[in-house]
Order: sequence, then C-alpha cells, then structure tokens
Amino acid sequence: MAFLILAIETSCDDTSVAILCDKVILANVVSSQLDHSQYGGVVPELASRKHLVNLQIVLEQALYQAQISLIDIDAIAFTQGPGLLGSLLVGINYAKGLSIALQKPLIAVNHMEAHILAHWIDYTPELPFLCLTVSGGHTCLTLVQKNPLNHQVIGRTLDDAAGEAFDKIAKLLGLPYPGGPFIDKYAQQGQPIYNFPKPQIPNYDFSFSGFKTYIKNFVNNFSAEQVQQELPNLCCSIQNAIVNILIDKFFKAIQDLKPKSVGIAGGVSANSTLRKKVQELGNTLQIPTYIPKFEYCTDNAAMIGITGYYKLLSQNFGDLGTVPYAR
Amino acid sequence: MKSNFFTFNVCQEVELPLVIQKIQTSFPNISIFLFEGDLGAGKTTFIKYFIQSFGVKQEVQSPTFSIANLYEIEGLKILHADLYRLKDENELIETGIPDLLAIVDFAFIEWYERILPWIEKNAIIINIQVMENEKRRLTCSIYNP
Repeated sequence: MAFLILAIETSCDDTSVAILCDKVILANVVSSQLDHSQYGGVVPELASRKHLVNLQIVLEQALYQAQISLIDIDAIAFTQGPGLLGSLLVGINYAKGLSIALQKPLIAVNHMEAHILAHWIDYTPELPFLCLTVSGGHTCLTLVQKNPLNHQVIGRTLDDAAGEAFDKIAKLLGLPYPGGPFIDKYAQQGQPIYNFPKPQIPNYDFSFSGFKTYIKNFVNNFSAEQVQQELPNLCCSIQNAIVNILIDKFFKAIQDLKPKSVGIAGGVSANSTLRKKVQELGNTLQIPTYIPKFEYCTDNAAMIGITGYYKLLSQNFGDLGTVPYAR
Repeated sequence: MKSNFFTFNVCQEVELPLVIQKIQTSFPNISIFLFEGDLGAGKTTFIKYFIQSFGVKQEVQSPTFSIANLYEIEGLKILHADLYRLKDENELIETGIPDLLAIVDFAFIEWYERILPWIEKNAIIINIQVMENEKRRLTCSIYNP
C-alpha cells in the first residue's frame, strides 16, 4: 500500500509544499520558483518569509500539480527546526490544523537532516554515507550510519557558512547581494592566478570569516577599475579557494572514516567548481558520489517529505504538542 | 538619543575577552547591544566572544542567513540577530524578533536600525571601525529610547 505524504517547509525564506506517494515526488512547489503558467488562475508574486500569505497558495498549487485532494493525504510532515521561530510556527500550526481537520498523523522533521535525506529521493546511497552540506546558512559534514535517519554531525562552520562567504565576498567586489551565482559566472571566464592563505582549523570544522576579511583587505589594494578588469580572475581564484577549503576537509573525513558512499547537499551544490571537484574526488577515491537534482538541494518541501516517509516507516510520529526549535 | 561613552583600540582578536569584561563591568544593567560597522569589520566575531563569555560552548555562527540565532545557558536566553536581509518593518515583525526581544536576557543585534522602535530600555551601540594594520576601534555609546 502506498502512502500519500503532504510536506510543509517554512523554516527560512521560501514557503514550500510537496506531495509524495511513498518516495515518488508528485509535486514540489517553492514560493520563489512558482510556475505561474501552470496554475489555473492568477498567482501573485510571493514575497520571502510571508509564509502566512504564501502557504495557502503554494498548497493549492501542489494539490493541483499532484492531481489529488486534501482528503487523500495519509500523513503530514513539517519542518520543526532549525530556523526562524516565527516562520516555523506558521508551518507547524498549519500542519496541526490539517492534522485535526483530516484526522491524520503529524511527522516532525529536522531541516538539516532533510537536506541529507534529499539524496534518497532518486538514489539509495550505500551506508555509511558521508555528506557535505553547503548552503547560505549551513556548512557541515554529516555521517549517516546504520539507517538513513541515523545522523552524526562530525564537522561544522565555526562562523560563516560557505554560501554566506560567497555572497559577502561578492558584495565586497561590488556585485549585487546575494552574489554567489555571479562569482560562479565570472569565474568561468577567469584563471585562478591569485593564491590566498587557507584557514588552519582543526578536525573537520570550517571557518570562512577570516578568509572573507583577508579578501576584503586584498581587494582594497585594487582600484575600482582594476577590480572590474580583474573580476574574472578574482572570482575564479576566490571560488577555487573556497571550494578547496571544503574539499580538503571532505577528503580528510573520507580518508579517516572510510564511508561506502559520499554526497553533497544544500544550495551551494549548484556551484560548478564544487560539483566538478566533488565528482573528481569521488572518481579518484573510487567511491560512489551523489549530487541531488538542484531543486532538491535548495530549501524545498520534497526533502521534508522524503524524510517524513522514512520516519513514517519507523512509526516516528509527532503530535499536537510538538513545538519548534530555533537551532 | 545617542551619547558617546568610551572607546577601545583593539590590535588583536585575543584582546576581545578583556574588552568585553570591561564593557560588562561598566554597563552592568545593559542587556541589549547594537552593532554597527562595515562588512568584515568583525561584528559577528565580537559577538561570538561576548556570547562565549556567558559560558556557551556551542559554535556561535553567523546569523546573516538564519536572521536570528538563540542560545540558552544556565537559564539565560541569548539572542543573536542580523537584520541585514530584512527589507521593511513588516518583515521584521514576521521574524518574531521584536517579541523575542521582550523575553531574552541578552540581545546582540547587527544592522539594528529597523528594530529601534521596539527598544524600550537603554541599550549600548557598539561601532566597530577598521583602522590601519587591521586594528579595530570600538566606540561604545548609550542608546536612550
């Protein structure tokens, strides 16, 4: 028998609703990427973090795409944390309301675990699985052992996330905020001719704050025209340096912990250099390497749904007393 | 109202715990600290040391993306927020940060301008300026609502 799972994600900027039939994604609607042409009606532009306004519209769109009705739903998965409490409360209370109205169980999901479980949408990585999660708000290394829900965070950023480093350095270079994707774009046209010192951080932890300040001082030696002229080489060098910081720790963790497969998750996994180097690393070490589809890497409800599915299989349910957690 | 109080010159990061001790001793009744300074000035680094001074062991990570991070230690609730990404007052209200301000024991806020209407007691504004040779000048002033 197949289960229909409704998943709700409201932990940060985007409002997202997904519908899964077991592991199959029937719909995965994200407020910032709403396809206006698909909806049978006029959809307004949905603003960041306006979860209360967005949720109903995104839910209707998801039901429309999945071609199901709310009463068909078997369980409701939602993000319990970490995230902004105000944002999480909207999703949690919406889920609780649906649970009461439909008389269906709730499943509370951890957003960070869900980023990793996104790999299980299209693949079944062999365990132990080592995942590098890199996004605007997070940078961590997690080891998944025994079963897909058994997570152990072995390294994390001590200050800024890698995605944040990209965005803030882009701003220092005069690019719009958030400018991570612009760095990637200019990097394609440049060469990594500049060398920057690598942060010396013990264990599997990361740090990008000192690197950001170093780049700030480095760029101060250039005039505005020189920055413009050198933008491709600067972006290429910076992108290489950030990716190398990530890859070095990833490599060290793979050598030490000998996982059976590895993967990357989070929005920064869209970065071309990171994708290339992770794939190269996997090839060199001859270890299966997984990168989820981009729509499952950024914040989305499909990853909440797949996590909900595995929690449902292990009868790990939430209840009306479930409260959000910020971290 | 904002009135200048005193200034610290910081040459190295290792001096920060001492500076923080001096600030805590000088302003024993202040629970809200507001920060100004350019990108890379060291706002988050300063707050990291401040929060760790309460005994918090976990990493104090940048709140730029998450907007607000909460820490709890021995019954103390500590808020670390960065309002950089918020566009207007309504967005601020929806984050729940003004409500959190009323229940936390200490608050550290970067890019704080938008939250001033909700600050009902004296706060300290800490301005961090980057000087020559990577030195920093910290200027503390009292914000009196």
